Amino acid sequence: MTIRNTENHWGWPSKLFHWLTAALILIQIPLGYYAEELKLSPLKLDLFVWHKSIGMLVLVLATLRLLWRITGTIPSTADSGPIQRRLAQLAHTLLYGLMIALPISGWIMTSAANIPTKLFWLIELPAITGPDEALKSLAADIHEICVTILIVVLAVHIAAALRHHFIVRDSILKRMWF
Amino acid sequence: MKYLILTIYLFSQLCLAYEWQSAANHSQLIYSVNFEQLPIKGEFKEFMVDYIPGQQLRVVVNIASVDMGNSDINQAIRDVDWFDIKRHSQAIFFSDEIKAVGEANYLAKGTLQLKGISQPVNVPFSWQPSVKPDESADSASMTGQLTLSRSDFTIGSPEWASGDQIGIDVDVSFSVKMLYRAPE
Repeated sequence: MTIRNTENHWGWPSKLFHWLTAALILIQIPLGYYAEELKLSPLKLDLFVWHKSIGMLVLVLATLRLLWRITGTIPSTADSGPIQRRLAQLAHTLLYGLMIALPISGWIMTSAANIPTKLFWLIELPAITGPDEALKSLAADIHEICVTILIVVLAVHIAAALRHHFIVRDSILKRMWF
Repeated sequence: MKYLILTIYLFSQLCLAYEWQSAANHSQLIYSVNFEQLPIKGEFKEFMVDYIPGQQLRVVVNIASVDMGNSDINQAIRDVDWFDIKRHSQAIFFSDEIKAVGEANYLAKGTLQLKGISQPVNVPFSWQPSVKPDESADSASMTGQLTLSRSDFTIGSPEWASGDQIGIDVDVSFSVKMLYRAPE
């Protein structure tokens, strides 16, 4: 198990970042939709504390992961055509962008909505804006558009990984596993 | 005779001419309650305070004027589970006794009727007349804080009873500018 990525291998920190974020995002998306649909109740408030806590964790992980990525190298992309390569790059760029944009738009939502947040009931999240109903609605719209795009890009990302594994039968998916 | 005295007494209570009255523009009645372990604030924008020094304090609060700085919360707290403002749009505190407890500090012992429920409540306050030279004071500041339990007034339906999400204790504070008006 190497730490740094090489031309052919992912190091364990990159693998850990990938699967940890994957698990968190797969919890986070249904959690957000479910909590949003609930009528006001103690459960709804608790679920939103979880949603915000996980979201901030994703933001921290995505930031560290980006830093880790740009200070090192990454394995070369699959041996596919130039169009597929560009599509993969686009998907990865979008995924990174959304892992930043979703938590930040959520953070703006809760700040502009004048709702204080204690992440995991432990750490107080400072407000990044003052109370502002218009900004709250704007951030909520952006949050929703972003999650819609995320679902589409994730579906493509997962489908591509499965295609590489089962149809092309290369080592792209295995390479990301431990 | 007994009834006559009682009638006179009641009539005199009704006719109580309050000497001091709050100035709406310079007065604040706010509260703070925990929301998932962090305090959020609320404010009653409309309320009226009447006071006869040392004798009687009356506070009437328009519960419908409540504002918690968030449209969703503002809507939720008007619901029957919380303030139920359709049926109980007013809260009234009426003192039975005003006790001096120091230089400028007093304790108003009385009853607070909120959401249709009456509970004994003590309101501590300080009274600071702004004295002008060669003149008697015509304005005063009345400030104080107290902690109320929302469950005493069934504010928050049973599902909120634990207080884990929305705290049970509500810290109320007020800063009121009182103006003197001569008794009629």
